[in-house]
Amino acid sequence: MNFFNKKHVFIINPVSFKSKHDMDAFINELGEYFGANDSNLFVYISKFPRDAISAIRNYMSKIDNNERVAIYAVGGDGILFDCLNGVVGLSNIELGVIPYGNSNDFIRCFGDNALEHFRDIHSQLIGSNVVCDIIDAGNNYALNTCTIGLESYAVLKALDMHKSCKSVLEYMPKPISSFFYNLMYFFGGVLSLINDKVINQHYKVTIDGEDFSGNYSMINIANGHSYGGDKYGAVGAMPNDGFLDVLLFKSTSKFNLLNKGVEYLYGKFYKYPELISYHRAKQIEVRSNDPLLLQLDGEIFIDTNITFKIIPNTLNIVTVKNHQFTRNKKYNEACDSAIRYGKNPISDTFTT
Amino acid sequence: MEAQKEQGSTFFSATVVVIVLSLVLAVAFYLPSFVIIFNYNSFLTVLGIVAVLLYTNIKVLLLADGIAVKKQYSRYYRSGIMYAISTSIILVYINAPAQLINWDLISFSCMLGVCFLSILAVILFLLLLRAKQYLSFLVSISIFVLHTIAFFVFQNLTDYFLVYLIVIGMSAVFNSFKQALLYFFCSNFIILALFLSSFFLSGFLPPMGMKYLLGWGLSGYVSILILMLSKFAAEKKHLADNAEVTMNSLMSATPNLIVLLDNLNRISYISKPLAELVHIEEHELTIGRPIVDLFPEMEMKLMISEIISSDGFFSKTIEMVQQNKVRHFRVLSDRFLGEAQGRFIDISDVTQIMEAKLEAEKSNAAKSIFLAKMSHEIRTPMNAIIGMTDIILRDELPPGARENAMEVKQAGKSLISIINDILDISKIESGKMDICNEPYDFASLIKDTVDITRLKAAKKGLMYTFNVSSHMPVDLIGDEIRLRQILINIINNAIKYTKVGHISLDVEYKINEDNTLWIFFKVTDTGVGIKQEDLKLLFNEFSQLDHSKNWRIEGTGLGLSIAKNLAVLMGGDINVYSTYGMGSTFFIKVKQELASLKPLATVLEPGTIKILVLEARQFYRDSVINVLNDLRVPFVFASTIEEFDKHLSCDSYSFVMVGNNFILEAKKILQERKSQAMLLALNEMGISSDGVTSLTLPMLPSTLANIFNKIEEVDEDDTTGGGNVKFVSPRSEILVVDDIATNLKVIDGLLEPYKFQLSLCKSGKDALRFAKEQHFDLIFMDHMMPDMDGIEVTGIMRNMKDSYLSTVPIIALTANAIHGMSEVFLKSGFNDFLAKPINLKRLDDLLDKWIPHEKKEFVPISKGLKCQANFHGPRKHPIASENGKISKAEKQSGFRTLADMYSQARKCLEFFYLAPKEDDLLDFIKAAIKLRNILDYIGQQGASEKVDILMQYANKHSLEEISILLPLIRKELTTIFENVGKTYKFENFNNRNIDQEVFSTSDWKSLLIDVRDLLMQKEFTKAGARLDAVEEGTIDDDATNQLNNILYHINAFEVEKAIVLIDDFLEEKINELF
Repeated sequence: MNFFNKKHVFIINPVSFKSKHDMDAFINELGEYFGANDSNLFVYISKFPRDAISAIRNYMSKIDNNERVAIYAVGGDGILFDCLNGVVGLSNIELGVIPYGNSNDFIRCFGDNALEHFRDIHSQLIGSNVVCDIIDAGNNYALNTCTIGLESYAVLKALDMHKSCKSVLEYMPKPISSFFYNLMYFFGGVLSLINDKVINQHYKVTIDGEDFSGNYSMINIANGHSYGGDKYGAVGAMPNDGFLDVLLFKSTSKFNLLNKGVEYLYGKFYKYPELISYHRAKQIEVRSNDPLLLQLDGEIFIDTNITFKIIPNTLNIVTVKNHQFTRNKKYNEACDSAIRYGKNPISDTFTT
Repeated sequence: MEAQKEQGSTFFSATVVVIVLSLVLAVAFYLPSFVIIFNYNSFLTVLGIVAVLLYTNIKVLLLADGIAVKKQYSRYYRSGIMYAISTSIILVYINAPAQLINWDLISFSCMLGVCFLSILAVILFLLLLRAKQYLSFLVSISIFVLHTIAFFVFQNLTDYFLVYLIVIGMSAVFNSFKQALLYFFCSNFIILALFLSSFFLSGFLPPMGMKYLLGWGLSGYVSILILMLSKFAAEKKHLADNAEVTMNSLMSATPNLIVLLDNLNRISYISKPLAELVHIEEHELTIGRPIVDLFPEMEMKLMISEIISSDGFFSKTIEMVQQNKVRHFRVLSDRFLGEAQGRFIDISDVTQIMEAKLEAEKSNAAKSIFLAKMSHEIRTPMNAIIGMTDIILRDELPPGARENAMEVKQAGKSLISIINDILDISKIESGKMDICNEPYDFASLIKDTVDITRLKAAKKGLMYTFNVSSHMPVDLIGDEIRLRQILINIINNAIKYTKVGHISLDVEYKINEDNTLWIFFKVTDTGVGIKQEDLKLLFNEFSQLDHSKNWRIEGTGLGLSIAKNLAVLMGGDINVYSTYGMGSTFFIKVKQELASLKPLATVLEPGTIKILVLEARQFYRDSVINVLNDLRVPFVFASTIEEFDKHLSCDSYSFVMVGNNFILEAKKILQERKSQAMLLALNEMGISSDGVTSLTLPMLPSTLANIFNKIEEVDEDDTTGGGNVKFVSPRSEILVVDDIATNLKVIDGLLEPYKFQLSLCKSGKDALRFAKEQHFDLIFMDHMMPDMDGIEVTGIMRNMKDSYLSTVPIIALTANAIHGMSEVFLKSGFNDFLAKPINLKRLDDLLDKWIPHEKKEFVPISKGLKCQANFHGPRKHPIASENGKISKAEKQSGFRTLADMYSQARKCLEFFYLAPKEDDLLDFIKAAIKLRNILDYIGQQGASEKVDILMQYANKHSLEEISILLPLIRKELTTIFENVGKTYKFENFNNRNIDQEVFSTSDWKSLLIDVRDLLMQKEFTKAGARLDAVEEGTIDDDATNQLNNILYHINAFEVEKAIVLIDDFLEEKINELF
């Protein structure tokens, strides 16, 4: 298939690669597909967080509006977030994901075996498109998930620790660095758990106009089902269903939180309907008097009020080898269990 | 940032402490007791160590100095906890098996255990403290590994400590070289002491005692090392904490919007106001977040990206809308100096300043608009006044009338001068006064200046001299116009304030090494002088000193201020020295670039010339002597007529220069003596009498040198109204567009001597139509016109890529002569710019520049074409006065054209007899346009406007309104055209049209011969008009075609072809006759 009918822009997060050598190898591989001075290829190495936004905007301002452009986020969810926010609002754009990050949560929406396929450059270049919803989170956009409260705080702490030790961890073998990476999230979770302010924050929540205000430990607003590596709180979420899946975890004791929080993280919220409520919505407003810690696709933001909206069928995502968005593998299990519990006809909700 | 660095160093040092302590514990396993001197004395750490003490039998000496115990450093308690835990584990691990197991067997596992736990402790320690200096971590690990290796490889404490010393020294280098040196010397001293003591003690103590002693010594050594390291770390920490506290206080207290970023552009510190600006109350929460995330709007994100992507210093003022209010911020940003990575961004709210600036700019813009309008409004009538006066001055005028006309012109020029001064001061105030450096001729500058000022001095009876070295370079680079303005201002000022006495202008110069030269002008007068206390006010704007005494003196008081500012802009200055009642001297200094060293004046063969000078006035006599001396020309001087006669009788002279009052006697003597000497009359007015060549005073060396060298000077400046033109160009088609009839009349008159074929029109739309129909060689386009201004019309013309209009020279003709307008015109597609009132010389230069060379017919400048009062070039559109009354002269020039118009008007009026129907509107509008143009041309502005109103209704399809207005307007138009018809006796002309007379062969012969003659006389327009006058219907189609063909060639200036066609046609008609 001819991939020269559009421009290919690769936005690379250099820290996603284990070494500069690996990144150079990736760029060299790109060069093999394109000529040395092929104007259809543009490679940009991101220098700092959000650098990709301006890089994309600058690039797009220099080319013809009618040109088709595929922008590939090479790295983890962070660079994908940056690229998404760079391309939103632009026409004739396709967003590709070449996963080299730690968790690559969004790619999990294409199934567990999709990761390696999405790393194949040639497959990406000749890939087709799937249409995807995106989350409008006020001033930013997210593809996969938004969390507020404990989880965000945990991510914040984990990110802090990760940043502190990145230069050490990057010299370690992948299994060890992954172990430490998860350990940091664990520590982050522990630190969040002991922070009363975080787990008992009062939020004014409105879901599609209905008031759900109260004290919540965590709020999860999901477009994709997987996040935080192996977690899948909103197990039924699909990035192309036109809805946001919302989980509200009420404030409770630390013990309860520790005990039930783990099951919540793995999609078993239906077991505790009195503690965790599940909704599917198009618009969610969250307000708080205290600073509101917000995690969008792994990036932390601070605000006091925010409105989330689903923008259905907005973005063309480059897919490879005909991979389509798929349900989480635990979805059917969750449905069955929910029915067994009989407290919440969750499968009906999921399949709306 | 310094605080971060210090903090990092502290972590490094603390890490070293942990490692060393662990090692000490390991070493202590060998020893009966050991010493821990511990500095990080958190409460929990102490508890941990106490627990160890209780659990084991190890003797611990705990020396806490308490430096770092401060509550605000609470986060270090966590490090303390981890530290205590790790230490306890180490101690327990080491101590427990030591009771039971052979040390040699467990030593390896012990060290590995220590190694692992220490690494873990360090990692946790770093994680919790968010250590930034990862290098220190690696160093620490290296130290530990080296320690371990050393211990097992050397199996010798002394060797081990040597390695240890090196490692400590290395690690210390990362903090401070001085500290490392200190460690090095201290450690060496201790080791030396140990060696010496062991050497001496070994003789007295048993081996075990020696071992213990050595152990104690080693413990002491390690203790000291730890103490020093701890102290070092504590100091660093203290500094870092101080810096951090200071920075935090600053960030909380500062009213400025400041953010410090790390190397990844994440926030390290943010000031409270900036956090509040982006609606974040707890500014600590933003620490570590990307700066871009602080700003929600994409524009701001991109702007921040621009800042953080910039390599060096960044400064920009940005606009943000907050709570529906526009705010302005000045953003300054730069990278940190030195090794520190990251950058700072300082954002200042400059809304108030910007608002004030915008307000000022608004006021300034209003002022500029006012000035532009004022300039335009005054220049427009002034253009008429000066232009018409120029036209009048060309004619033969009765006695007194010329003087009166000159007075009118002079008054007009004075008024324009005042306007120019006001505009100049406005430019200077707004900093928009530019100095345009271009090559110029200094001699010409001086001549112009003296010529302009001398008449004024002469009129007041003031003597006026000019002294300059003839060697002064004349090819200079500078702003000639502004320099002339300075000189004229200062000299005019001197003349103005001097009632009796003299004025002198002296010029000196100094050539610099950088190819520039300083020119020093000295203007001296014997005027009223200036009081010392008034000197400082002299250059103030609008100031006229000693008002009670000088109230009769004209002027705005801007001249000196402008002159001084201009001199400063030229890198110089103006100073004044004055004695009140005695006179003043102005010193003007300007810097100019040197183009060449060509001198001002040189006499080619001074040896062949001999001059006799007769001048009784001392002041002029000195000046003449100076000039002649400077030119190295031999001369003899006489102060009386007798002396003059005596000299002439004794010697022969090539030139005789005589003061004006001796001219008659001198002439008589020369005739009597039959002298061949050329008589030169020295006079101030430059008027020659009785055929004597005049030498104008002040005398310029260049003028005198030209006379001696027999070079005729060309006087390009015509101050008497003009009439001399460089060329005529009857074949050039010129279009002049101006909405004001008077202005058209003025330029019509001013262009008359050039014999152009002139077309005049009053609107942009008409200009476009004319220009499309006809090929013009040059277009004068007024700037400000209703409906479509000159810039718009020119833009449309320039966009007609396939037409000659895209390249035809267009000259902006405007009264809007404010700063920057010439640039605006050039950018808008104009080729040049002519300000109103029109300066004749400038007009002549422009025409010379833009009229195609092949269409020019040159006339000798000195004998230029003097316009005759009754001369009228072949113009197409005579301008009628009010009520259609047209002057006799105009009748002569444009009779035929007017007749055409009249005929057309009558045809158009037919559309006005009945109110138009919907289907007839297009024809009605076309007729109205024609009528309006004709009315404009004959000066019937009021009627033209009424027709315009009809057109507007027609465009809106308002038939009812048209039917109401039409009878009234028709009546008025009929009256106007009846008047025109009566005045020009067009009735017969039109009757002929109505009667449809058939052309006879004799008529043909007469017509064709007339046309041929006119063509031979180059009266192309008249010839065309003659042919145009042949009415349709009076001749057959074939003849019409032939006439059109002839007309086509006449319009295309293919005269020869036209004549051939006429001859052929004539032959055909004569053949018909026979």
